[in-house]
Amino acid sequence: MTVLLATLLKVLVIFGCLISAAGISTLAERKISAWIQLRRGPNRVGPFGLLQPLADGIKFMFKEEFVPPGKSRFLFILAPALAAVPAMMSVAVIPFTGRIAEIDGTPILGSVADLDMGAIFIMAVSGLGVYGIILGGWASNSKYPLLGGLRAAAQMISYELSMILIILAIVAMSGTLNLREIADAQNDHTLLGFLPAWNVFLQPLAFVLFVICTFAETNRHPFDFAECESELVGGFHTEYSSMKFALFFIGEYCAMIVMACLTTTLFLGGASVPFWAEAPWFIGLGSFVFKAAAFMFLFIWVRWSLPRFRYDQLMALGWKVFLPLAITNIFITGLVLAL
Amino acid sequence: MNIPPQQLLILAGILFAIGVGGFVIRRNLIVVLMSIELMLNAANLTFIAASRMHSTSEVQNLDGAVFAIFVICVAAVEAAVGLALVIAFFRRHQSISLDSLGAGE
Amino acid sequence: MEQLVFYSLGLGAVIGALGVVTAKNPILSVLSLLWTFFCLACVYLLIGFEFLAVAQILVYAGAIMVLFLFVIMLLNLGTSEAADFDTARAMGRRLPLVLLVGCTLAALSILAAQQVGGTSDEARADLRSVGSLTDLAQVMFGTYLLAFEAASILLLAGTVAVVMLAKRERRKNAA
Repeated sequence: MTVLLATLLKVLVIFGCLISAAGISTLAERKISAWIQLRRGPNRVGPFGLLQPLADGIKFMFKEEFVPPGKSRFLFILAPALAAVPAMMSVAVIPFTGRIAEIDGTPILGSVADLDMGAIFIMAVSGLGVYGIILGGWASNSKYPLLGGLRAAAQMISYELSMILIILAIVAMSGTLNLREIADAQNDHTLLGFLPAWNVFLQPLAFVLFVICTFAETNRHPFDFAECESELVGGFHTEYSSMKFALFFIGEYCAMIVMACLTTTLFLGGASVPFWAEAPWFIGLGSFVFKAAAFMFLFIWVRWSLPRFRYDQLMALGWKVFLPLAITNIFITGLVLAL
Repeated sequence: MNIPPQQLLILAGILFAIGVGGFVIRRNLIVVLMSIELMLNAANLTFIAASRMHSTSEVQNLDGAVFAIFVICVAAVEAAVGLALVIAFFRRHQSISLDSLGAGE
Repeated sequence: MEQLVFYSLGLGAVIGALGVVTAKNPILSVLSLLWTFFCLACVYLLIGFEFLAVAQILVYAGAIMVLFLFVIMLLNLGTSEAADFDTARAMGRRLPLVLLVGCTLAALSILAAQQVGGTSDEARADLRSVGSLTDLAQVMFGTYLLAFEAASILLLAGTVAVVMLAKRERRKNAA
């Protein structure tokens, strides 16, 4: 019973934190972009503009709803939910920290669900996010959203392939699909006596490929062809307004957060702290959040620094560079493991 | 956990029958392909029911599960090749109706 | 309790399947099929085949159905005129045949279900989870290694076939 309560509490806390983190990320995006462009950014609502996400949320709620005629009204309303839910679901298997406590012999772990196949689960669920974008683009009954949806579909399928192949190399090294065990496997020894044996040092190629794949998978700049303001007006969400648009927005940021957490887990040793093996769980949590936040910063930094690719360049990169490299990486990993 | 395999088989049978029905009555090529996917899924369910049927609490039979994975693999290939054919068909006939198959060029 | 969950999932799957074959709009067909796959994945979970449930969602929902949607949108078939040739009358003409085939198949499967042997219900009663990945891998890469390799060759052949299909078309357009 207590275990059940603890799990419920974890669900509530993690869900609440995810949503607030998405809100904070929107603010961080605007603040950092302002900083990069030598502007001030939002600074009117609350101290340093800290309450801006709240104000944005209220504004979204009072905007006019618009449903374009002609196509299915049901699908138009369903699409934003389909875009947001998978990202929120996949956060369930992320191990945010180590063992928190023990109740009646049952350990309370740092993830909502300690699945044996967490790595596959997260790929399966995050791959569903594309439905919201495709259906939103189609149900808008307008050519720009349709093009945006088509692009998103092709792009996400292509990059998901490379992404799964990269994860496979990591899985082969750790010998498990459980994300908590993958994170733990990186902390049981050191390299050359001082470096923690994180996968980022053992698999540098995989790390670089994976980070770039996450950009494509979350439709972020420089691969944001589903939106692509300069070509497609607003892409798949051109016709969306009010809370439906807000859901797409939250879904996008949740997906980014999940990808940042996943990269932390797979490549940066999860909740571990270097040189401090017995760190208590809240220190581990702090370390995890710090690493994930660094990736969020990278997402934003790249968006405001790099120009957008061309669409055919993106597909060529995915199929002709990333896929062969990912397969080579698996071969090398397998060879090293076999020796 | 204790669903009798017979019920799984019955569900598989019903799904397969619906798949066959779709395969026969529809003339939209894409829906026909989807009916095939439905039938393959019913086959999967049958494999799993069989796997279930031959397991005891000590020895778990996973042959059916492995075959279900192979069926998923075959279904993926089938969908990819089928859809490529549909696109080729569409380029030739400007339609994906099976009725235009006899029309030729 | 489990029976109840199974019945509702089964009902959901059957309704979804009916939606696939009756929907006018191919996009609604895709969504119905997606729903059926989800129900089936939940059935797999219910009887303990966790890996299959995840694989079902990863491959079917995550890849195959996206491909279907992509093709439908690429050919712009999501409109009503695409369904013109699939009128209710045209479908109705073949309905008796379908009913015959369907009833025969359903009857056969029910008969077969009654006949099958296997272990007794009592021996299965305390069966908890089957989905241990290690056991599955043992069977897959042990007993069925040859089939596994054959499947990989099939995938390769499929990839080559799709590339050739797409490529030949382009050369013809250029000529």
